[in-house]
Amino acid sequence: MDNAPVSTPSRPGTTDDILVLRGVTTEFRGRRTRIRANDDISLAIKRGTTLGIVGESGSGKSVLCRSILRLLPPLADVHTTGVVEYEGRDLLMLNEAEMRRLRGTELRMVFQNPMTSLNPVWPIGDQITEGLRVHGGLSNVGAREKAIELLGRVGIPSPERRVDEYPFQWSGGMLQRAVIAMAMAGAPKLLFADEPTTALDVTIQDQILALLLELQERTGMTLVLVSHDLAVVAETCDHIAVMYGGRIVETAPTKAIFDGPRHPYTLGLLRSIPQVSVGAKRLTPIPGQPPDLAQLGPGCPFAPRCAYASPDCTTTPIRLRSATTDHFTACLHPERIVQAAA
Amino acid sequence: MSLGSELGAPLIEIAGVAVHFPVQRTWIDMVGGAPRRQLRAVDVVDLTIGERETLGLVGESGSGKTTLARTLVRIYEPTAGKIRLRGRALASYPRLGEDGLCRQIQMVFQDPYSSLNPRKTVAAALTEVLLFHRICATAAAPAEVARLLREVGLPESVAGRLPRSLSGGQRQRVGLARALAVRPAFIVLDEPVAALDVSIQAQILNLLKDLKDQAGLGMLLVAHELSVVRHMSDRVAVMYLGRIVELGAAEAIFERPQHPYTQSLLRAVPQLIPRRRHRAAVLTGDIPSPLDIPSGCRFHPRCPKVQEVCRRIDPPVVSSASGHLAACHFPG
Repeated sequence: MDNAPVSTPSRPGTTDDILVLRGVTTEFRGRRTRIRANDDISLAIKRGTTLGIVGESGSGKSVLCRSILRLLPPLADVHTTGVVEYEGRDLLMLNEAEMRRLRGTELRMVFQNPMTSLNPVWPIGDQITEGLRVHGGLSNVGAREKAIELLGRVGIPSPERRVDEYPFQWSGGMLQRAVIAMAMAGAPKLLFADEPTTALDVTIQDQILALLLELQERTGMTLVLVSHDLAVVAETCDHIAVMYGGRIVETAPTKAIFDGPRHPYTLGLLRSIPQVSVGAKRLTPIPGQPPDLAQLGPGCPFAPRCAYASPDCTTTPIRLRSATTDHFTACLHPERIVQAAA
Repeated sequence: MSLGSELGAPLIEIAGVAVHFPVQRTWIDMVGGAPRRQLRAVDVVDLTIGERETLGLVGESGSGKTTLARTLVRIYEPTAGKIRLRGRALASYPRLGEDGLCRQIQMVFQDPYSSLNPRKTVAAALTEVLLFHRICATAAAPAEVARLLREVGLPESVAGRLPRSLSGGQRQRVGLARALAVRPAFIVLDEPVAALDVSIQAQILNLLKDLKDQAGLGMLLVAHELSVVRHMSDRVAVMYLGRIVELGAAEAIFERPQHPYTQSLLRAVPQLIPRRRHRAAVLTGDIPSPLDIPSGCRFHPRCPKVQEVCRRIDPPVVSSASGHLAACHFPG
């Protein structure tokens, strides 16, 4: 079953899936090093659902979004292979003009720091509709109207007054709303949100998550939410993919991940997070450090930190395998994890 | 009025402290006759921290929590009010020497990448502190460095390494070791785990907890992450726009919050429970600017329970029987 896409839920590559990844691998090449930031990622995302991609810094989650949207810096020696099938077309085979057009309309991305995705010397309204003016042939007057409407839709108070303001005049939460408005301008079918709330306070994070879900409900778009915070995805996502060392190590419906994790890294994460609802008990940290991607062995990247590893974990290449119809794990001993979690 | 703690004599006493910053006027402001403005970052805070007590300080960015923390190590001077350490005014302590302030109070910063000198090895950074403050003789320094590294759970082999070859978690441990080197009575921790990955956060939180139990330190833990504060603190203070709006035992704050701001803050935290949320956001809008503090209760523009009186009158601090304080006209 080489390169068979792991589907969430199980049907591999049906018309229900808006995006199917098959063996997507992204390699950064240096003079002496080769870093596989994404290693053989296979995944399918069902139309209209929310997928949460969870992992720590360096796990490859942001690179995955950028590989799909082909947003990795062109000057770097980056190589993405595999198949990224969006609505029946392989995005990796499109020419740059077609790709730009898709990124301006159906496929959008919201980044972590809104300050870096906005030009500080341009009015916010102009930036929101830039895509529409370039791709949708909108006039300047029409664009201003549209910007006001979009800002209203993302919950900016008195948008007709604020449309001409500059980024420095807005708070972080408002700027994140502006960036979401910018993404919504293209009426996206698939929206990638890369840590959209990480730089924000918890009350503002709460507002932005509510906004994203409300927009999704209204437009039926598919949402990919990248986050380091398991609690954020627990509340917002239908499916979860956990990334570690450039790979997807576990993917399943959200409830299945929380009720019965089948990968030791997922289990470790769940145990190491302090919770507001639980008083001061000792945490169970994951020992050691995340791996250096330039020095990965042939086996499981988590094996050196894993309490359940056997000697063959470090030597056997491990692929994502199905545990149940919609639960997949890249672990040689999922039964040990199930037992430990119980 | 000072807010007592049951955990012994106060180590730190903050009485009526305000920290205001003058806002620079442009010449256009001056010609136009615009008034001189003050940014009221900390706007009258009373608080005590007991010996061996950990006080958690939470609030959104802009609430003044970092300013208050920095005032405790005299990075800022209070505009009004007094801070006492074991009954003696902070300002009357010498900076250095056996009973100097630097030997009593230390601070650990948020970003372990920018708070260590990139060209000093771990051993050199720690030795400098030990010798400068005359904690030990030159000959005894290596042994003391080794002891400090053990205390923060680092292998002795990191002594010769530079910060760039350490991970974020390891650097934060070095930052802690440096603060502990002078054997202070009190440590200010400003967002000590905010810059770390989740799997590393737990390691540092456990270490802090051990230090708290073993070293007998008083701590002020500033964090925006409520779960971190709950995990570590004996008591918790909730700050909003320069004021403490609620103060109580950690358990009480998290289980029976009295102030509507605390209640909203707690409800806004995502839970590790898989359920699709179908609710609106708990609070609308942003925290107002400390340049332009609302009248009456400063939380009233965002408060779900707001009444007429809240717009006019600053609420008094009400204390419940258990010593739980809330500054609200309609607590509970």
